[in-house]
Amino acid sequence: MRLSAGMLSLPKAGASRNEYEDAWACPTACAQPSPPLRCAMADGASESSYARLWAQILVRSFAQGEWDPQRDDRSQLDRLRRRWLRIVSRRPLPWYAAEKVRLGAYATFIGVELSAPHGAIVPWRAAALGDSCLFQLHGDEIVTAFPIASRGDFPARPFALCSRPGEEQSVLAICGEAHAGDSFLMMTDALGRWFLAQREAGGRPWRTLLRLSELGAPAFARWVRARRASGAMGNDDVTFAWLALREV
Amino acid sequence: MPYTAEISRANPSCFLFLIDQSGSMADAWGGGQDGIAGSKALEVATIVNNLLRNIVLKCSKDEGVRNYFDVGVIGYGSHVGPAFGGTLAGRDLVAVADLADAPLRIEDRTRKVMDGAGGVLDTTVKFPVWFDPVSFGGTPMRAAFAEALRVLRPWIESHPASYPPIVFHITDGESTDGDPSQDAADLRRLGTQDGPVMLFNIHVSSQPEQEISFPATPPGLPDAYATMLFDMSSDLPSEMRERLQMEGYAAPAGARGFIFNAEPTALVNFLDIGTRPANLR
Repeated sequence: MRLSAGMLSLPKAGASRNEYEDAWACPTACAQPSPPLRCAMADGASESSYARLWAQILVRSFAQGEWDPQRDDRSQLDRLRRRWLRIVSRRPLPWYAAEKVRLGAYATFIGVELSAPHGAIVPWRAAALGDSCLFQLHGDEIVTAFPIASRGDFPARPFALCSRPGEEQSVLAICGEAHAGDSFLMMTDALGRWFLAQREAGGRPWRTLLRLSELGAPAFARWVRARRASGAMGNDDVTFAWLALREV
Repeated sequence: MPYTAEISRANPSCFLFLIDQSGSMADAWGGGQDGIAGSKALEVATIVNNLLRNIVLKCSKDEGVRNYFDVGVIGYGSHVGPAFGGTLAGRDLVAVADLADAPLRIEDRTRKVMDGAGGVLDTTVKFPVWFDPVSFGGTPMRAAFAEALRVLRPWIESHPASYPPIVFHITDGESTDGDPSQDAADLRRLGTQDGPVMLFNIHVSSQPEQEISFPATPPGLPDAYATMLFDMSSDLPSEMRERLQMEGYAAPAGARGFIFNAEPTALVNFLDIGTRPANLR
């Protein structure tokens, strides 16, 4: 079985690429990644500072097997927190930046792990905190929507992982099986809201997104801007990633 | 739908504070914990410094402070006019990045925070001070509202599509230049395409009554000024009530922008300028 993966993104309108605070990591850039294969997406909360860095630390650590939120006794997460603090504390900060460091950065997270195939079956598991979305596509149907299954389930203010210790939030977990031909679609909340709204209206939004995955970044950017202009999508950083399992 | 405009650097909103600096503010404040109450002027300074601090923190990002808001402070007492000191003295409205860099001083204060293991520990936080307590002269509240109109009219003309300005009026309610109700109504009639100016009245009273936040009916307190200030306060639209409820306020249907003897520290959090996590306190 062969796996292909890719990602498209667009910063919030009015923000520069440097201000984009979503993150994605997937080691499929390696020619033959060995199972288990982990991919993750995080959405840094814009009301916190250094959220882009925190989101990057989370997804890279998950993808590299350094952090597993389902098996972490918090020692792994605390190590990532110390890394974040070490980086942001390298230079003297004005009072407001120092206070934002004290408050911590926040990011939602979703990560999926694909195990080695058992014949035609690929076992998978995923962990999530917040409103970043994972969908499993089998044939032309969504068979898994995690952790949010309907448009109305998006919270106005999602829970997120904080880069400082404090009131810890529980990570949701799910597992399942995938087959050759299945795809996993991952997306941050603005696109997830559009996706589920379309699906609930009887549409097949995965077809649009998979087509955009073939057309590439310029087409994706034009498409997102049009949705924002029409009010169909909120003005937020948008990230879409896909993992496609194919028979060799 | 009103109050839905996106607040951005290209489309900022505005906070205007009207602060009572009259002689009566030297009297003891009726609120506070453990019966320890300083003067009303001290309480006003605490409220304003806390709110300004929260506004700056809301706009602070990795690279600095983003100008999501213009901020002004009008003081009224022995005179009426811009109340910023230091390098901001004399300015009606300043960008929040300028505000961030120009407190009079920065103090270290101790706050209790969760330790991550179910306990609470003391931590030192940076507390900028833009205002010290002032209490001198009469209470020309009508003149203060006239000054607010003078400051906000041109801002609204130059920001017609912005989220409308929010005015925080902090007082003990004892106007000495007449009933300000009509002036407050004139202020609430100003607005952008996104809705009318919101007027919040924060009443610091000498009466040792319990705290009241965003009531839907007149408070009926022995302090005669509370009802007047309640009547002058904006009706809160449903979107704003929902945000306040997320911050822990009851804010029932019909709630007004009125607070009595309470510290509205979390008040600016009802404005979203991006994703605010539920667990960010």
